[in-house]
Amino acid sequence: MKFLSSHRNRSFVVKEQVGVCLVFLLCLLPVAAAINSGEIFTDVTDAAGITWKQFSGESPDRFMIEAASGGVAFVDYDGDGLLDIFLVNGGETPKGKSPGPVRNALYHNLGNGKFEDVAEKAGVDHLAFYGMGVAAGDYDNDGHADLYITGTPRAALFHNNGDGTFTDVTEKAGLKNEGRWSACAVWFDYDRDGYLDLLVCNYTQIDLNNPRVCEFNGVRTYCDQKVYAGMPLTLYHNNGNGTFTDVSHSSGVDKFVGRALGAVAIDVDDDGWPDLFVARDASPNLLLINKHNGTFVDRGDEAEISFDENGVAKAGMGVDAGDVLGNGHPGFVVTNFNDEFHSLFISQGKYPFEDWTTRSHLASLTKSYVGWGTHLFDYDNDGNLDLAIINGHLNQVIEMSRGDVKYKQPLLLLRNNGQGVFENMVASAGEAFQKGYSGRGLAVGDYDNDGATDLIFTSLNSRPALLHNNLGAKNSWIGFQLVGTRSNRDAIGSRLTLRAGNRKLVRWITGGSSYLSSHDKRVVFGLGKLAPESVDLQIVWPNGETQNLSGLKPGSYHLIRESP
Amino acid sequence: MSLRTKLTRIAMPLPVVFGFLTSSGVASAFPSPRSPLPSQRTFPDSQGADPAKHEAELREAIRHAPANAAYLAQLGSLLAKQNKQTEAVPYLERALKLTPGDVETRRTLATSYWQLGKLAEARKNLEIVLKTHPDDTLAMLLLGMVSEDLGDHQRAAGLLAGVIPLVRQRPETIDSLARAYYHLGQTDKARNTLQMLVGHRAGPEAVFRGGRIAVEFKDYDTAEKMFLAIQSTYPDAATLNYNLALAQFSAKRYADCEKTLLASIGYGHGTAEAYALLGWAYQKQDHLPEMLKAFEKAVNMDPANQTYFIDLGDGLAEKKNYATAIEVAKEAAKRFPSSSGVYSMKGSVELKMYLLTEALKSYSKAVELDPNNPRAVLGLALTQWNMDRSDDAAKAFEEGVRKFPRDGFFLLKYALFLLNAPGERDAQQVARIKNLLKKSEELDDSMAETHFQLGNLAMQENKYDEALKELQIAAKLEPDLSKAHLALARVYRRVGRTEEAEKETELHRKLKASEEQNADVNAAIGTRHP
Repeated sequence: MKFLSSHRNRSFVVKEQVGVCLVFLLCLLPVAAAINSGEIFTDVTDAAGITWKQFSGESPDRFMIEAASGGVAFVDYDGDGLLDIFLVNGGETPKGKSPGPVRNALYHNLGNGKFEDVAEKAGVDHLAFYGMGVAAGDYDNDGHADLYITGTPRAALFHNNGDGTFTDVTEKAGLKNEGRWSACAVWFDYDRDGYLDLLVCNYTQIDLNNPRVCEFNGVRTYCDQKVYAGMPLTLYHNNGNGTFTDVSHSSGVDKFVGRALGAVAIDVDDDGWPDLFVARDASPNLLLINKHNGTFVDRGDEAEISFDENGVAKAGMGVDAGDVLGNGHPGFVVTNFNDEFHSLFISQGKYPFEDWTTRSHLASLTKSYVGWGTHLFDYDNDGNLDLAIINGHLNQVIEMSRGDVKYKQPLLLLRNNGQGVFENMVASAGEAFQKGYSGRGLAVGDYDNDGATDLIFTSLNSRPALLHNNLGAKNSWIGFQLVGTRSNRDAIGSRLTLRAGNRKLVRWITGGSSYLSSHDKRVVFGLGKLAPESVDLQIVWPNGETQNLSGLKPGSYHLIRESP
Repeated sequence: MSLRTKLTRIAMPLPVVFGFLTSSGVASAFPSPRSPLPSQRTFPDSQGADPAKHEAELREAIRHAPANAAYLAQLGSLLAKQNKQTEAVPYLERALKLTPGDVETRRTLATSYWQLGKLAEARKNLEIVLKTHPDDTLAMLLLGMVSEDLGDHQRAAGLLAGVIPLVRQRPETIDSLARAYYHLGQTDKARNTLQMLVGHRAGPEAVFRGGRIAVEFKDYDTAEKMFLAIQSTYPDAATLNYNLALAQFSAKRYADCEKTLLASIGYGHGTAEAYALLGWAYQKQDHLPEMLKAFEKAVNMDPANQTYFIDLGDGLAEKKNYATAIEVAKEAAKRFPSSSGVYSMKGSVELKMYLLTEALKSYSKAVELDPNNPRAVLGLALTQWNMDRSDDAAKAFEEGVRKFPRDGFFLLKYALFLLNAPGERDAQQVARIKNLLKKSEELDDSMAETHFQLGNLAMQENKYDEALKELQIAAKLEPDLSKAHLALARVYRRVGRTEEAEKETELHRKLKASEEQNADVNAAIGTRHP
């Protein structure tokens, strides 16, 4: 089986671009001054020119949707090798009107640490509905990342035309998800036919003409989520011709009725087929195992991830999966409400999963926080998956009764010691980690291609924050972009196993994850301080085929195409 | 003590009144165990004559013949008969020193000791009697009673069951045997024993007392039957009907309780206590306007009784009618500004409403007014816990456990606090939690939560047999406790009992669905608390 890899140093190749590397390096210089290398992450939002602000439609009616929006995507929409940023806006509510048009933003990465909003030009600035989240994925395998945007009372699919513009093809594709309030969307190829299918998490029933009244100490606030009835999941099968079929019923996913907010697609049981972990808000989490026949079975009870040990279905909002323990199996992080602790479930390759929430110190680190977007990533490239979580409360009057729980809450950077125990890096993470936010979506991606994973998060009625990673590039690393040919082009569902000396690292290209957000689909392996000369890589492609590569040189991204 | 406290905490021990039956000069075949046994050796002027004169004569005789066992025994018996047990004992002891084989005197001494509550001494003397006279039925009867009082229920039941004809004669002995059977978990035998009281010549009072015993042991059906059996003959209808209603309430037959009370009230027996119980019956049936009216009546009839306010506030808060509950609490605080109980109730309502700052103030005041009010101390600890003032909460819990070491509920709550702490637990901490839970279980094994937590801990340690045992008890005590079924499903699954796991999972799902349907539709987000 042949493989192709990039031979260029420090650049990511999609199109042939000679000299990109040099230009890229030179262009970094003016921006360097903005980066405070004494801290792990520097907030470069201003320097990047990101001025967009989220609008939630906050109103006296206190519709739950006002507190829930905020999707963000790192996506290279124009295929120039540089990650761009797409931000989903919320919308107006009957009494929550915006002074100007409520618009999304598509920040084109100019390559010098600066970004330019081209949403209008691209045709993705406006939604005919209240926006929630975004899932970027090349559903038609044409090499250009498309965008699926969730919201209420419908959703939208924007096809990337490959020329810097998008076309709304929702109706044609059959992905409207009409009449529903959708939150997360997950591109994944559940039937391994080479085309990305789509899971949509639907949250609750909402009626903007009929606000529920909930008060706390006489002050109107958002209602407890259990007040709202849950909804079934939606699953769309990609027909391979630009259209989708709603297979919610035939797949069995429509019987899972609850308040779904986040989901991640990953091969849980290592059988080569993608499964789903669905985080649900005060509804039991789901572990949907792919039965290889177009249907799924919920093993949440067997895995013991549905309820905590006191029988509580926690307020699951965001979720991510990764090899936290370095045991080759995925662990799952789920963000929850204050006092519930954000959860960590570790798989040892069998049921039940182990609840490591306390043991990992996540419990004590997150007790006072309401968590949303989250991602496992190796910020310092030491080979261990660390964790970022953005938090923020919903109840603006919470501080009337709690001294320990604030309305605005911090971004957390939690370092994994390699044994699944986390440490809060607040002291050195950067100024951005010392503040409080009404945080929601969070995405990770290496927007400047230096091998250090950066991150961006959104906040209600505020600007997002783009954080540059100053540390990761100081350690040895190697990155991969996989391009499927028989498998889906994004290679979502791939499992990568890297060997460097006697160290083995496992990563997956997952679908979905975090909260309402979409990430850089490249995989960066941190190799620590000891920079090996070369590494070996095994790829299990989404279609089940295995590919082995050796002698790969660290310090750059490698483009790997699946053999046709 | 509020009705809630009566119903939910340790049952108040029933006063045991023993009749003092005296024989009429002839040795009775079955004298009352707590009456002096007739002596066959009598002073010339024996029973029937003037006891005071008789006593004086015996004292004079003893003065002249201090080592005369017969005189000593007679005087001791006479004094015992007159219920002068403290004076009787020394004479009886002296007589027995001289004639240790005097069975009757020894029996009389044992009875006196028993009357004085010196059970060990009573037992000792009866054992001596039975060693030489193993067929002494009176000694067996008395030792049975003493054993029951000492908590040796097995012995008590064995002895008393061996002298049933004697037991049958006295309501007190019937009560003793019934208690012994209840303690041993032999409910059917206990019921059959209490049944002896129905139609007993001792009359309806004995039946009433028997019913109260049944209540004490939570055998409410039997209690109800006994009360109904004397409904037309018991002289104090108000008291009887109240107790009947209480038994029905405790058996969760709230409609029957309501009916009984309304009938009683209709007959002119409407006491404040009855109206308060009626209020609770309405509360349990979600008839809140009627509840309010009933409690209002109770308050008007007995405005100095704060427990009606406390009960009303608690009852409303339990039904999530917080707006009215807080008004009741404020009014109660105005009327009873020095009442720790009222401030505890106020704190409880505020805590349920998540008004933590107010709850902290109320509970602090309650503790200030009465540092030995367990509800206040616990409420303060819980509020501090909710406010994440963990150090203060830990201190309050520790203090509370020291003050109220026999309060099973307190111990349970402290254990829950420790279990919910976010940090990792070391072996010592786990042991501490287990100790608290086990102690709580010993003190009050009716709390499903205690069994649930013990089961959960056992499951975490892979001790599945133990886990199953505790979780099954939890599910039996509180069949609607959804998490018990979830935990059972997990254990069954882990040990490969798939079918049972599926059953429990199904039951869990149904209960959770029902919980969701009953969720408070006006709850503000973030106001759930541990």
